[in-house]
This record gives sequence, C-alpha cells and structure tokens, in this order.
Amino acid sequence: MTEKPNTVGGVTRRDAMKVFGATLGAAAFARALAPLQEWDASSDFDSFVQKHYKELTPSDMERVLERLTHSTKEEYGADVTIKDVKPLDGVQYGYALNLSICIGCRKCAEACHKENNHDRTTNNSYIRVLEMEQGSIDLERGNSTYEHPVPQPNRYYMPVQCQQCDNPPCVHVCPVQATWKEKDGIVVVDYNWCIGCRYCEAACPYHARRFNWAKPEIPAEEINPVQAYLSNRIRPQGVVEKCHFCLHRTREGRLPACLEACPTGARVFGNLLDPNSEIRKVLATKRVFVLKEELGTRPRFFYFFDK
Amino acid sequence: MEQPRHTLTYPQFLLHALRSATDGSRYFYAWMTLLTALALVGANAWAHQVTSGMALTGMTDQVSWGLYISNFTFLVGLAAGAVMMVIPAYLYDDHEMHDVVILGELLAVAALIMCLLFVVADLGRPDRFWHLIPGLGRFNWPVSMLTWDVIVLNGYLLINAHVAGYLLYTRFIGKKPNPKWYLPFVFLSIAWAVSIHTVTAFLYSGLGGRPFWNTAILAPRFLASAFVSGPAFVIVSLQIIRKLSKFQFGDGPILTLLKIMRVTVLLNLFMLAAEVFTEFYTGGSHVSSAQYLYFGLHGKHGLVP
Repeated sequence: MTEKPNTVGGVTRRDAMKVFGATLGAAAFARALAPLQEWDASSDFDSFVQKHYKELTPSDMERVLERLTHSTKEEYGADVTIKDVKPLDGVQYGYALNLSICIGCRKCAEACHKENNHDRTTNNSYIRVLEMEQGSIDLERGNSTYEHPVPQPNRYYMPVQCQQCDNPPCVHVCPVQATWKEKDGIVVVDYNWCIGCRYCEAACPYHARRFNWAKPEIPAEEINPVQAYLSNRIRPQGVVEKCHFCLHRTREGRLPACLEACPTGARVFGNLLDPNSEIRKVLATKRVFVLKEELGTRPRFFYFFDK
Repeated sequence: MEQPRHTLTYPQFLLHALRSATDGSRYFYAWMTLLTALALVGANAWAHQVTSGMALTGMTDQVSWGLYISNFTFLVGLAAGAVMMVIPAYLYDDHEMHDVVILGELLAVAALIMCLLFVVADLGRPDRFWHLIPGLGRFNWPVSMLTWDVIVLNGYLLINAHVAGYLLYTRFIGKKPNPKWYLPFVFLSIAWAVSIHTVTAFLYSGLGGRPFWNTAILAPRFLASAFVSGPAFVIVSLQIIRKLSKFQFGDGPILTLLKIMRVTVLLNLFMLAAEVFTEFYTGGSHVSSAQYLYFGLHGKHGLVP
C-alpha cells in the first residue's frame, strides 16, 4: 500500500471495517442456519451418541428402546411396544411367489403399508406390483402405476420387494455398515446408524430400498403398536428402509403380513432348512427362477409359474 | 534453534495470509459480498432441507441422487485436472508453469472442499457424520467404494494444502523451499490425482444393477474428461488473473495447457464414441439409459437436450 494507513490506537480503519464486516457476515450465517433449531435431531443428545446396533449391550438396548417408545408417544401420540427381536437358530428364511395366480390386486402392498407403519402421505410400501406384458419378463416394461380393474387380459402381475440377496450389493456399498445380513438371511437396516447417503438405493438392482425424504406421517390410531427395532418401528427422517420379511412376526413364528393378505395364496414363506416346509416343496417341484440372476446377487426370493 | 522461530513466524504467516486474503479494491469487496449473499442463500436452503427433509430437493426414490452428486463428481474431476499443471512443472521442469503451478494446487484445494461439502449436503443425516470417521464410527473399508473415496479425497486435500502451504510459508519467511519437504508430496499428488477420479468412477461402475454405469470405460473416461475440464478452467482463471491482478506471467503455461487439452479432448470424445457404439449396437438394458438421455424413452424426455 502506498498511502499511509489511517489508524486509531494502532488499529487501521480498514481492519476495523473488516472486523465489522466479518461480524455482520457471521451474524447473517447464524440467521441463515436458524431453521436448524427446529430440527428434531438437534435436541436429542442420546440418539446422537448412540452406538451401532452390534455394539449395544443388552442394557444399552433397553435404554434405546425405552427412549424410542417414549419419543413415539411424544411425537405421534401412540403407545407402542418396541422389541429387539433376534434371529432364530436353525432358520433360513425363503419366499416364493406363484406368478400364475397373482392377480395384481396389491393387497400385499397395502398390508405392508399398514403393518410396517409407512408414511401415509406418500402411500409407501416395500412392495411394488408390476403389470407385465404376456410374453415378456423385461422389468423395464413393467408398469407399477396402473389404475384399472385387475386382472387385465394378456397381462400378468409380478410383485417385487427386497430379494434378501445372499450376495447383497446394498450391504457391500454401505460406507458405515448401517445395513447387514442377519444369520437367518434377512437384510436389515439400523435406522439409528444410517447416514442417509442412499448409496444402497443406487446399488439395489430391484428398487427395493426406500428413503425417508420427509418425516413419516401416521395418525395415532393407525399406528401398528407391535414393533421391532430392526423392522417396523416408525423410521426417522433422512434414513433408508427396506423389506425385512416382517421379522417382528416371522421370528416369532408368524407369517409376513403380505402373505396373510394375499387373497389367492400366491405367496409361500418358510424355513429353507426345514425339509418338510412348503417353501422347500415349491423349490423341489416347481420350475423356479430368480430376478436378474445374471447379476450374481443370489436372491432368497423365488418366482414360479404353476401352469 | 529452528523450532522456536517457526512457532512465532507461522502464526504471523497465517495472520498475514488472512489479511491479504481479505484485502482488495472496492470491486473485490463487492464481489465478496455477492458471493457471501449467494452462500447465505445456500446455507439457508440447506438448513431448511435438513430440518424438513430432503423431499425439498425434488429427489425421489426413482431419482435418488441428483445435482449434489453430479456436482461432487464434476468437482472431483476439476481437482484431478490440476495435476495437468503439476506434471509439466515438476516432471518436465517447465519453468514458466512452475511460476503459476501453485494456482493449480490451490484450485485442487478449493474444488475438494466443495466436493466434500456437496457430499455432506447430500446426506440425509449430516448429524451422523461421525459414523464415517475411521476409529469413531464403523468404516466399511475396504468393501465400500465410498470409504475409499473418503480416504483419497481427504488425502488429496491434505497433500495439496501441504504443498501450497509450505511453498507460501517459505516464501513468507524469505527462505528457499527445501525440496525434501515438498517434492515427495508433489510426486505423490500426481499418482493421487489419478486415484481420486478413478475411485469416484468406481463408485458408479461397481454397481451391477446400473448397466449404463457398469462399464470399464467409466474410470478412463472420467479421467480424460477431467483432463479437459481441469485445464480449461485453469486457462480461464489464468486469463482473469492476468487481466485483473498485478501477478504477471507469459503465455507459456496457457499454451502448454492448450496442447494438453488438444489431446485429452480427442481421447475423451473417442471414448464417448466407443461407449455410445457399444450401447446402441448391443441394445437391450445397456442402451436404455443412453436412449433416455439422448432421445427419451417410453414417452419420457425431460433430460433430452
């Protein structure tokens, strides 16, 4: 600088202006970020420091479940029971679907919607039913948004949900191990560990994963109170979720909600390790196939035609 | 007694740097005010997005990655492109390039900071960012390509910040830089630059369920396009710097970058042609995405230019 700096007590006027400008800027940034004060997560220290599912001790888990039950009451006004339902020994789940008798009524998707406490505004479900053209199994040409009576002539219907792959690309890509395969074959998500990067959603070839783009909305009286940590408890905003074979039911000896809702009996669920199970009978006697077998994902979800 | 002197001069250096970085003409302040205003709009939008959900971005389960991830990818390329100044300056001793190479290193630093911010902006739960920190969270390395990206991007940021910072600091204290303290990092940064865009391409090309991305040509093409867009950006910046500041240099660096671009742009176009041929000649699921992008598909053509 050629001109002599204009100083008062050793501080140049320019420096004083800079400090003033910086203060103004910082205040403006604080104002711009003010909406964050309304953010649910910003006030919840316990859930901020919560450890990964696999690192929680039984007493940690007890406290977590208590906190979740409490916040469900507070935020949704519903009394719910959230359990940590563990996989059973000697059980490997498998699912099969008979495409010859599925009529595309979407009762399964609706049952999933209710059972799993899905967001009411988006009508979310883990199941999409594709209306397929006779003579093609090209998923790209399947229509999942049909609004007409079913079944239509020359069409068949293919419900698609998580295939619970034995080589799951979604699990491999997760940067924080927020999703993994349980020992009974079910791929689960720790909704309190997921950072919401949606890499798993990009990796899944079956479009089985869903993201909570906003906080789920459900009226208190419609909330299913029977919940589990890894399955149908109400998901937080900003995390990924997926079909978990209704583990809060199936690990306690019941059937998935989608199977119970199916009016045609197209769905078969069971323990692949039990030689007398219906699922084993289907695998042994029907001509079974899996979706996108060429990708090497090794699904646990099988399809077959009966006639 | 080297040590105590540095503890005194380094804070002075930082203070001096802060001072020069915030000093300028009226136009400079007007420009910085404008940029701050834009950043404020962005910060406010992000605060709303975090609070009321990413539905605000318009992304859906069908289009689950959008502008954030494409900007991130572009900026990784820009950061990698800076190596096209580093190679002539250090490997081939191009003295004129050497005079301006620090701009390339600083460009890499700026681009990487923006990359990392775009990734954070794309997170549904930025409060859980610590889950990604090795040792604190559960870092799914080496299986998840995203963890590789965290490593290479932060590494490249540190290397470039070190080299640029060291050179500026030695200049500040009036000493000749000791090659031992920066040359190994410069050569590391050359290999590292290739790695950042390779890993970023692997993020996409490793996904078997996405035929358009699932191709071996993705990483080479990412690099070739980075070595076009990086030098292009640098040329524009150099011209502006030459016009608007006292920092003067010859045409040499610009001509060198131009020569590099003449080659890389052709390489990139060749690979694009190879990609387009393979997709359209093969057909099937491999062509669907390209068809959608260039011509529209099943009556949907929102992205067709």
